[in-house]
Amino acid sequence: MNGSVKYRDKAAIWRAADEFRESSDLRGHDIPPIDVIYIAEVILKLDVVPLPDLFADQRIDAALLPDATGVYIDEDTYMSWEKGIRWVEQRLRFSFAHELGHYVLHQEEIAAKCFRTIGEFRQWAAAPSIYGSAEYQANEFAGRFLVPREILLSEYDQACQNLSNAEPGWRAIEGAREFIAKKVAPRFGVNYQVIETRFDHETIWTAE
Amino acid sequence: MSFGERVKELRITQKRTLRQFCLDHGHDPSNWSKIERGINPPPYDDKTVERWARQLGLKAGTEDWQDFMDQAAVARGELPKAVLGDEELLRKLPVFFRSIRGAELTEEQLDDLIQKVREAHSPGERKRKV
Repeated sequence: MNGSVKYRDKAAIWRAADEFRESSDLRGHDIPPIDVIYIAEVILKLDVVPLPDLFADQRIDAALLPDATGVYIDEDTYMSWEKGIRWVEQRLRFSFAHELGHYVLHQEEIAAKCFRTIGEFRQWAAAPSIYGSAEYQANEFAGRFLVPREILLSEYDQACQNLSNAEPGWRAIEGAREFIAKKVAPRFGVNYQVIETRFDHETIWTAE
Repeated sequence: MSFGERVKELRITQKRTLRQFCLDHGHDPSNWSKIERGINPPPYDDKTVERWARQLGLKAGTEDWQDFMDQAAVARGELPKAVLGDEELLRKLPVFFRSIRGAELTEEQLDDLIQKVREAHSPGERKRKV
């Protein structure tokens, strides 16, 4: 299957994520931690199709339906949402935002492909092209959508300030970047690795 | 709009996600999703459909309530109870269906035909005939 996807640079993906988050439809639901399931189901009116063992069988929590009218979701994970199991909530939030990335960025391309199975869709989404895969673009969209830059910078500055007050030479300490990411991540309801990726891609604090 | 689409619309009107709605009312989300997508038919007993209608925010006796019950019947491949209870209307239905089959009616023509059938059974119409 042809895995080509239209070229979108980071700036284009970020712009799409920011515009989507700031759209009038999402007003009142754009403050982190963002309730992506509410946005998908109630605002976008997408169908949710709970599937038992989706994660066990495919190693994914969610997948856009081939006709982009809804989202398959691992049933156990879905029912655990908002139950206080933080790692489940973090993972599902990102997974759902990733599918919204496909929905926003790739709807026309998906419609043109007429996928019949989740497997076909995954094969297409992961296939590399010259400019990166649909999976890469959806990940970048998800990160930017869930972690708005201005709020990230504010949280980052605050966390750095707190550490500077306690230990002036903290930046030289091994693992300081990860430590800050872990401090900041709960504000956005995502795993700290998502924050580290934002630090990196948005050149806030790049990995060495 | 199909029965499933109506169920989904009513749930979204309540601003409840599938998960929240199912937790609120003790439904299985997988089965409820199938109802909304028209894969599973509505229940065959009226009591359950009435309970669903209440859960979806409809009030008994309203036009919306009756439409919901009618949509459930149609989705099950049945005639709505209100039609089944009207013997005069039932007798006319074969002619009505034959008209629809033979004529390939437009939406507008179909509405017109339905209206004529309704008028033929309204109290005012009956009075005039007497």
